[in-house]
Amino acid sequence: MEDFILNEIMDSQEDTSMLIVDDENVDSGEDLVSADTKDNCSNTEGYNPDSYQSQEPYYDLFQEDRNGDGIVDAVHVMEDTDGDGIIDHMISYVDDNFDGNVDRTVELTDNDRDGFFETTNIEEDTNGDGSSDTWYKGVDINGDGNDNIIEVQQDSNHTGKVDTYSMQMDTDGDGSIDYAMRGTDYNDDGQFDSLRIYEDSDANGKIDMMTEIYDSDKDGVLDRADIHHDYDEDGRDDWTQICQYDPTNGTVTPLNDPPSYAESITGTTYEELNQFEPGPNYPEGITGDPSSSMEQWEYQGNTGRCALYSQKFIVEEFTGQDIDISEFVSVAESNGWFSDDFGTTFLNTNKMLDYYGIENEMSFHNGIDDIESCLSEGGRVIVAIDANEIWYGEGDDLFSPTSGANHAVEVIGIDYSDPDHPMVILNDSGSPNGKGEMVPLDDFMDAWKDGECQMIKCYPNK
Amino acid sequence: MKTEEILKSLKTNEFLLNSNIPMGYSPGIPMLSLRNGEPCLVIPYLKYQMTGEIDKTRVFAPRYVVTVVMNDGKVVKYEDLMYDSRFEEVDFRKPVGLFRHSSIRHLKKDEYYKMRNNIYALLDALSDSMTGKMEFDEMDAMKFNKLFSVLLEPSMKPFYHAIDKTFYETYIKA
Repeated sequence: MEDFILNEIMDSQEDTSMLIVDDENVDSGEDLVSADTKDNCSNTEGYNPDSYQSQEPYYDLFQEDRNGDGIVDAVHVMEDTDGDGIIDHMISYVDDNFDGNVDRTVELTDNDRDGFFETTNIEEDTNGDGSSDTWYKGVDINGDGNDNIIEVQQDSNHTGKVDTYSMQMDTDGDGSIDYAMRGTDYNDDGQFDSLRIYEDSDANGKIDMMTEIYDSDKDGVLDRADIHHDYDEDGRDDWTQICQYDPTNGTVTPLNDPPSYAESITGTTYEELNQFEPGPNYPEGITGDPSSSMEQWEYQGNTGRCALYSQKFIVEEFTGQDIDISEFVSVAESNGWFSDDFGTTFLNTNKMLDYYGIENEMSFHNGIDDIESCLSEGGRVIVAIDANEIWYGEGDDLFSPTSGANHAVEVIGIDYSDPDHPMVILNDSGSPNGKGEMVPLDDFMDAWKDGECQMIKCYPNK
Repeated sequence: MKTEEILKSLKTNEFLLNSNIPMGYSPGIPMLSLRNGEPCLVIPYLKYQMTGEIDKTRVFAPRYVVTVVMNDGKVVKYEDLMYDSRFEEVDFRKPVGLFRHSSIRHLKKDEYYKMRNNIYALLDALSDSMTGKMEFDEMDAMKFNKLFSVLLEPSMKPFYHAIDKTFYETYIKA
């Protein structure tokens, strides 16, 4: 694959380099100067292709002296290559640093002759050494004015060889990049030594998966692919799948097992749970402030940190601090309140609240009224539930032989706006869809009763 | 106290809440033992982790054992098997089996719970027989053995044997 890409790069490089060779007026700084002495400086700003009425192939040339030193530093050529009266090709040669040499060439092409330029090519000499080192190609597929496909090639160490290639694509035309890749050839041997591919796997406008392909044993052959999953799209890895990479056909073979929650995503019901949709005003019947609380939500990934995340949400909301989970975990571990292998005990589910000075009270055998009361007073609530009942919805053939609380969540609201279908709104760190997770009240009560209706009421300050 | 009542009470038992049993661990099927003349439930605590797939619920090794006096539900013994040399080779973080195992795969949820409650009732009867309140006859013993050996996960049997060899050999292995 890397050979194919590099060949494309070199082909493209040759194509773009031809752009400046054909124009004798711009192949040197001296010519730019002499052009300036022959013609009046003009400015292309305000040029209107619609006003142009020629029926024969035509081109026009404009020159600019942008710094007013009497020397031309930009030349723009506009062409109607097919004589249909519409400019379909523009090319600009620009001396950005006013040293008399062309540093940047910009070419716009209207390939389909619809009056809009779909393709942009930019060739640039970024360090002013006289050699191009960066090539940009953008294609605006849907005519919205934004490039949907962007390719950039760079000779970053200025050796005359492209060593970095990157591509970004907005495949669904929604204005967000959903696929990007970057290849790097560290030793200029024409082979990529590292490839990174970024994907928005759920097409929500956020990159959530990055595949890094590299040469693990430094023998010159790409042999390993690490697939980094960021399930909660917070910019941090939740799990990395390590794979063997076959450079001959691009196939990857997983070397480690996915975590249990990643396996369990298939066939579960929690994906079907709705999420609370914050609006400017709450409809009548909402208890709590779910919109505000939802801002703190994070996904715990493949960890047993539910009780820690639930406390973190509340500490962040009450204190306004942005807390790094690794520091939070470190404090909990060092005090013996949490272990990454086995999680948290019941009586330790409020220890980090104590640590941050959040007033709290733990109790059992509560009712939904107790939760409502706390939320109405501006408090926050953590409860222990049997998550199986929320995530999987037990049935005749799918059930657990035991009942008991196995998961901590924050209750951020109760929604009685549809009195026939009351819902409990959760910040559930254990589910990728747990931000404002809407659970029918009856299901919540079943899950909560399994933990003897334990709750921790929290209030801002001691 | 009845077995079912004791198991429920343990969820909020102050001693256990103050122990190091993490959320997610819950009582497995109890065994029964006579300790200083008192019938006591010997309860392995283990973890089940559902995956959302039928018969793919992960079963983890019992990590804790709690001994409770049946008469008053008082916890009289608590063990963390991670620190028992007999279990040194066990990785408590990894599953040891799947629920439902083959011999109970035909059981629906209600049928399973009914069989398990029957075991609890027989444990109550066995406890009463130990204190001479009632007889636990051969038919009861056979029924108890059959229910226990069917419901207990195959992967649990070595652990139950190690935790209470006498009970295992009397009521499960037979």
